[in-house]
Amino acid sequence: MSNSEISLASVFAEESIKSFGKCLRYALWRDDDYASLIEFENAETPLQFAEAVRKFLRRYRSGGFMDEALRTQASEMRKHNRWDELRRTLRQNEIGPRPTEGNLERLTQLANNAQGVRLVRAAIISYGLTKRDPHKELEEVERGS
Amino acid sequence: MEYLVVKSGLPTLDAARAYGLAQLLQVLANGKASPYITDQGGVFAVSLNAELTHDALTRSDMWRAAFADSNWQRVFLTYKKAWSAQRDRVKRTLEEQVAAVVTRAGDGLCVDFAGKFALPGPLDPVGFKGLKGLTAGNYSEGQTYLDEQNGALACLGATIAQRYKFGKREYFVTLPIPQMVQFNDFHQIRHLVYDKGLAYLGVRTAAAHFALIFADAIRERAAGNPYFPLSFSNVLYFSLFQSGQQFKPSVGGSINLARLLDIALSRPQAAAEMFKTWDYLFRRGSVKGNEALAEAITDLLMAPSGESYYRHARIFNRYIVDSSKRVNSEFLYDEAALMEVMAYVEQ
Repeated sequence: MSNSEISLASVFAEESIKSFGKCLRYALWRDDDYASLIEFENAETPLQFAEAVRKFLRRYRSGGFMDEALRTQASEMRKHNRWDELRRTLRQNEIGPRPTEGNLERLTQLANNAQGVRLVRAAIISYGLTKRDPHKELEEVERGS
Repeated sequence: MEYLVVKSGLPTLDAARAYGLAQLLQVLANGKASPYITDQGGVFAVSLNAELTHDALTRSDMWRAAFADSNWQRVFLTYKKAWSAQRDRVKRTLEEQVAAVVTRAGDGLCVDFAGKFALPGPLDPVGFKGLKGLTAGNYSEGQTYLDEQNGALACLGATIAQRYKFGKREYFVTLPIPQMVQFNDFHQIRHLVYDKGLAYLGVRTAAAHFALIFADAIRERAAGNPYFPLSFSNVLYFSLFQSGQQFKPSVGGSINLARLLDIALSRPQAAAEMFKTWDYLFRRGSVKGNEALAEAITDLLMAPSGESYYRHARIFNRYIVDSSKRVNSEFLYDEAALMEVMAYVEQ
């Protein structure tokens, strides 16, 4: 299927986009990573888009291990709404969801021409507009790490 | 019985005549039945299944209430202090000539532009002096005139159906064009919507916000019924600004309501979420310093496209990521509502 036949809604609902969009949204919350947001917004060509992804992955540190003590600590902070402290802890320990290789491959496939880039970047930044459920999101991070 | 309002080619005037006739018929039926307005292309058909009592007008509270509406002053804005004399003239005309109006409507009510009733500018921007002729050299300053009965009906309809919102220096006028409307339903929606308003940036924002809250009111009124028999085709809008001593028309246009109403009636839950976020963007955008939000959502609503969606997403994201802007998460989209926005853009 060519990109001209793909709708923004279907790209938005793609699993790889969803996963990547949620990582960007998480990075915006945890790291105030506005630079990545701007780079995605300004990407016009597949090359610029790939560069934006590369820079985002370099900035976005995730995949850190959450031991039992850290898990309890994070869980306490979450339950008592100590969000700033929790953000700091998660950032220091590099805790967060991570896009899989398969997701990144699919992302690059979708953004293989200018039209595709426009659709993918619109779909990715759209995740920034959606409601987060921080408790659920962090429960998943605690479970996943 | 079906009554017909033959369109004259002036869309605001024609819709106002249809609303005016519906109001008149409802009063003549002693409020026992509600007329149905249908747009049939060349005519607005107003149908009513009730016996009409022609002498009901002077005794009717509903009739008196229709002439107590504060909108009369705005419809006759250009008459300044003489607005009440014009309102009384309309009332007198309709009371004295009611039988003739109803008979003419039964055969198809056509406008006679050779009449003696000067079309008030706020009723239709075409009514203002200073219309251009066929060529630039043929510049005409003439007033538009029509026959007394159609003029009176149109003024009555405009009072009921036009919404006037005063901005800093100008009036923003909006009018929903009926497609298939039961007049009682319209009255209830009017009650929900017409008093709401914000400090708008301009007439486009005013019209877009009106279209949104209008569609939301229809969604509420339909209460989940996807076949709710109420539809409007467009919202016509224009602004009136003060030029010296007199008001003159400025920007005008029309918003297609079909997509908004389709979402409102067929996917009411997603529509409620989507409309809530959009309404928030209009409200937030009406505050000084946040104008970009209102402009972006106005563009998205009036001219839905990939570009207008992207612009809206970029600007809204700026506010969300900036903690000093404090966007309450309650007003963010949920995923279903955002998919609906995307479908709205790509329809």
